[in-house]
Amino acid sequence: MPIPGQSEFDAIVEFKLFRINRDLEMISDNFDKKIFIF
Amino acid sequence: MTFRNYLSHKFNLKTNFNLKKYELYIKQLKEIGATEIEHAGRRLSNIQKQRKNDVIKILHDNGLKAILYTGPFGKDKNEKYAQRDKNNKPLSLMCPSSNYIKDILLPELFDVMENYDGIFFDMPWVDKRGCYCNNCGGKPDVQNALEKITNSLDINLSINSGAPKIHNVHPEAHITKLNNFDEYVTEWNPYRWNQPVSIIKNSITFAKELTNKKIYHATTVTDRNGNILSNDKLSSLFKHIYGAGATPRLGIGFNEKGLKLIGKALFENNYI
Repeated sequence: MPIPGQSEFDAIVEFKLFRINRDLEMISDNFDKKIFIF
Repeated sequence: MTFRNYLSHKFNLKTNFNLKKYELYIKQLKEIGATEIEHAGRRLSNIQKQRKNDVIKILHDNGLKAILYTGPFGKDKNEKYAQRDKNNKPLSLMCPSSNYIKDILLPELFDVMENYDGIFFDMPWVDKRGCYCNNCGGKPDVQNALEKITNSLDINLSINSGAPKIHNVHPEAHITKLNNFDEYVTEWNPYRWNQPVSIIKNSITFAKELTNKKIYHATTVTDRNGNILSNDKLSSLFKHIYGAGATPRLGIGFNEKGLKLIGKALFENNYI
């Protein structure tokens, strides 16, 4: 079951990973807001 | 019908925000069918914990459930727990067979889970490069780690179950023999990949065949450029999620106009 756009898939996984790990830092930032531009 | 919504990208517990504006936004989310709100924040200062309790009170006062979002194998500065590649390089996730769960994860959850109604565990898997650290000897045991978690926590637990029957990048995230979580969350946005929306039924149906527990389907509602999907696409997305027997788990941080678009698609299909 290949994924179309494997590199983009990896980028999404990396973002989720960043989000989880960022949560474990005591600092905060606006990273999500840069990604989720509505 | 209802849906769960991840909200930490708009209101982050680690950042000061106006609680009145938060409550106003929660009321708007409730109007379009949200019944559960997720916030990240497992490692909080005392001020941040107070903000967490204030937020949960607002959610409860408005009849919504509060869910803690976290990763079971999230990062820690102490590399003795880290997954390692074949060259012994530490990776970003912690090894499920290390003492990370006992030493770090569970104590931190006990510290912040008060007042929450549930916990959602995202990324319960091993790095795609595998793990070859001294803790697991090249055989990281995700199932055993998750069992330690469910045996230790007396709260409603849900977990990311990947996208079975769509891709197999993280097969250990799929529901296998472990059936002691309370809820399972499949995850895929077919529009991002130009796939027919019906493909998400593959994952949801697979999950429902393996468990009688509640199934959520997580998806963003935007295209590759971050723009909200059209009304037709939103309607089709919700039809397929609800139609397959799952509850949507979304990540909405829209302004009022965006919320109305979501609400319109749900209302027109009689989901609210």
